[in-house]
Amino acid sequence: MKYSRQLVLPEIHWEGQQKIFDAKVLLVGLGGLGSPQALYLAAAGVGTLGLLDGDRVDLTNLQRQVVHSTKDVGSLKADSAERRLKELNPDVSLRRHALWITSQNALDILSGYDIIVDCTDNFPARYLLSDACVMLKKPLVHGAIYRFSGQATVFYPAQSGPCYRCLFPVPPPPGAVPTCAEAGVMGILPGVIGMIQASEVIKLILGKGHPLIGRLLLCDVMTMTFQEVILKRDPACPACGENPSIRELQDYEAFCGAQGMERSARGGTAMPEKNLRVVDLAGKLQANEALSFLDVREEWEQSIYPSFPHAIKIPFSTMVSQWETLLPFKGKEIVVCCLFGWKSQEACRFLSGKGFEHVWNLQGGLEEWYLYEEQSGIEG
Amino acid sequence: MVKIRFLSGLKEIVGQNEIEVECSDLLSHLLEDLCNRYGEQFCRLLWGTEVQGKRNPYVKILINGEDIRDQDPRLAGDETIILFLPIAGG
Repeated sequence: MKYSRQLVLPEIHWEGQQKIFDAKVLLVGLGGLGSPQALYLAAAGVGTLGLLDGDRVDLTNLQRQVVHSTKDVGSLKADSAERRLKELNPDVSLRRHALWITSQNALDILSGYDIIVDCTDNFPARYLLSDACVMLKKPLVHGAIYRFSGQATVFYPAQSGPCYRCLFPVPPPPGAVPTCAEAGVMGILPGVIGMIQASEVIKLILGKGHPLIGRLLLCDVMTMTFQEVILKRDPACPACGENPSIRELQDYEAFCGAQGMERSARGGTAMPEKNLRVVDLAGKLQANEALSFLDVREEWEQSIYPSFPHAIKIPFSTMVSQWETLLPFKGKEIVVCCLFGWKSQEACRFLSGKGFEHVWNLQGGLEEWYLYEEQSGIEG
Repeated sequence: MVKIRFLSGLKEIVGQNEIEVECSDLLSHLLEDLCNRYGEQFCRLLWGTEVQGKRNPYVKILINGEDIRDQDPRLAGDETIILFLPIAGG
């Protein structure tokens, strides 16, 4: 009865539903993309669902990570998703992996599943999953989101499709492409892209339809346009090409970070920025240390949280043309802040390159600062 | 006319979804024109700090749906070019 609306579909029927019951699907990441997929795949009766995430639910997740609820804030995402899915469909066997995927555990974990779904939020994890899936000859259902746009495809070299490295041979340097935390994301977008991924998962299980193997779907919800792009396998791909050089999993943090080193060398801003934790800033303020504040948020970001009193405001996008106004502060301690600590990190690198020696990046940005104030207020 | 569409990640930098330009030249010359139009951030994404030599391989350029990787084809003037960046958000 529960599945009658899909049993009635000739493409599924009992035979297909049995395949769905027998399927083992691993969701890597239980955030924006993983949450809606967890709900729908569990509802569809996917027999075994792996729930992998080492993170905990925080308040800013709830705008889009729909498997978690307000009461789950502070819980491990794997626990929170497990609780919700048990209620939704007790038929599903849930395997909880409350950890981060690494080069050490990836092959072991992934080998227990038929289909791997990439719902991660960073480049190192994406390269790691792609290489591991190439080695294990498993399909990798890819989705990624940014502001109002998303991408989805299926990487499946074992069925003649390309892998992630065929599409993106090298990652962008850290900071070149902002993360969702930095740039924001429309909460509904991961639902749109997640549902494309979940549809691909069901099609792969059924062996029906035309999966997105060798096709990349680019979606922009602001214009509501979908663009399909043909992806070809790269015969010279180091992972899935004719003579692969990647035969074991690598250090993906280093691989993705190394690109940043290269950029620093080219950009002449090799001096590493100094990071300041919010708790240390609180200490400095309490000790009445002489600090200047530089707020590099863009104008439209400034209304979300108030800035520090007397902060100099230079939006990051205008830093190149406006940095000289900071010259009177060159010998002073400058705390650079933005919403989440990414633009400020870039700004610190830039200013270090211009000879500013005492610039501090406020880690986690103003959001972290106000969260800290709120929490220390509660504790106090 | 060559139609240029800016997708994920790039459209925010150039502030436009799509433009049309007259061009029957090498792709690299068209991209240099775009650099002049869209400024330093766009330029740095395409080439790093120097506007010469190899483009950054993570900026994807598709001409009529085909990934041209590091080639520099001559445009006929009626192509559709798509530019986009890898995005990692999830």
